[in-house]
Amino acid sequence: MKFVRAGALLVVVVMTVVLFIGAGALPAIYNPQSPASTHVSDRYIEKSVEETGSLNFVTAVLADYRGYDTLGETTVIFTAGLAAVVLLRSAQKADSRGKKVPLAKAGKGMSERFGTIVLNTAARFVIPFVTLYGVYVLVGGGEGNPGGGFQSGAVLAIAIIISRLVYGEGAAFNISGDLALILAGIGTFIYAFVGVLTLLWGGNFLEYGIAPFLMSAAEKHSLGISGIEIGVTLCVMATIIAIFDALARKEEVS
Amino acid sequence: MTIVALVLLFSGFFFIVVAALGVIRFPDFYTRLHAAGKGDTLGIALFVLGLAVYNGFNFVSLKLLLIVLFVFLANPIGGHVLSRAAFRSGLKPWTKKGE
Repeated sequence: MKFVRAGALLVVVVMTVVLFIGAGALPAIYNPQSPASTHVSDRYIEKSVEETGSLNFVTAVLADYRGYDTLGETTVIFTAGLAAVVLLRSAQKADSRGKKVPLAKAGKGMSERFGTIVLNTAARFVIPFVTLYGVYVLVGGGEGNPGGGFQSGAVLAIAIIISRLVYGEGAAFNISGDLALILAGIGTFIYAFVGVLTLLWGGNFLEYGIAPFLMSAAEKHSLGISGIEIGVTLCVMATIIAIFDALARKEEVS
Repeated sequence: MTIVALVLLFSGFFFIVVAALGVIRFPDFYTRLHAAGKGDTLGIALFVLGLAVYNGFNFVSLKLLLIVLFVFLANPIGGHVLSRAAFRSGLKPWTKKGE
């Protein structure tokens, strides 16, 4: 065991040194002569509106020029969510003496435990606005406003979590942990499926312009971006809810 | 207009500083919550109102007013629920006798 730890420490030290040496060789961040500033940035700034139909070129870079990268990020979030849920659920299955503990039954919300009419009214007032704002961040994301799938997913998850916290697991506006895991998978699938669709239409993976719709290329790009943003939103929202659900159950057992 | 905005901003600063002092100096959970809940709410509201006045009347100041509305809604209710939860779970309020 000690040997393994010493080995791990050695690997960490060596990697740190290598990364620091590597970071030292990178060009300075605001250096106008660096390769990133001389070729790529100008292209994004000058051409992204006409090439992708997205007024926000952060969205254009994330969802179009570097669509592969974002697919990877979405998959990472999904995988991390799965891993967290698996760890939390297996940790609660056996207590300290190795006795199996059943999963917690439907938990009570705050409203039943120590709530008042103040809390109930406030939650009822806030939840619709939070949901609306989440959808607005998603829909407005590509159209020149800040926003996009990741933020929208987080905001929508907050709406569900408020409802779940206040009204308990029996809340009408709720997504159960199991359903959330399935939805996270579906979200990731939607993203990848958009890519596969463009493959089927004879283009490259995530080459939106190839879609056989009667639109201009920019509109097709915009449509493709919307498609993958919806996938990202679903994935992020459902992953956050699944992790929250696993944590809440763990609390209720102990 | 700028003077009104400055007055609002600095009174907002004042209340936030007082609230932070209260959180550090007060003796127990309830009194600290009292400082954070009341002082911060008024402080942030004045602060953001000051920004809205400075900005003049347009869409951005409408958004700022919405922020004020939601802070007014969320902060006191958070304090209310927290103190209620603490009291229900048996935390005794601080009194001078207990010293």
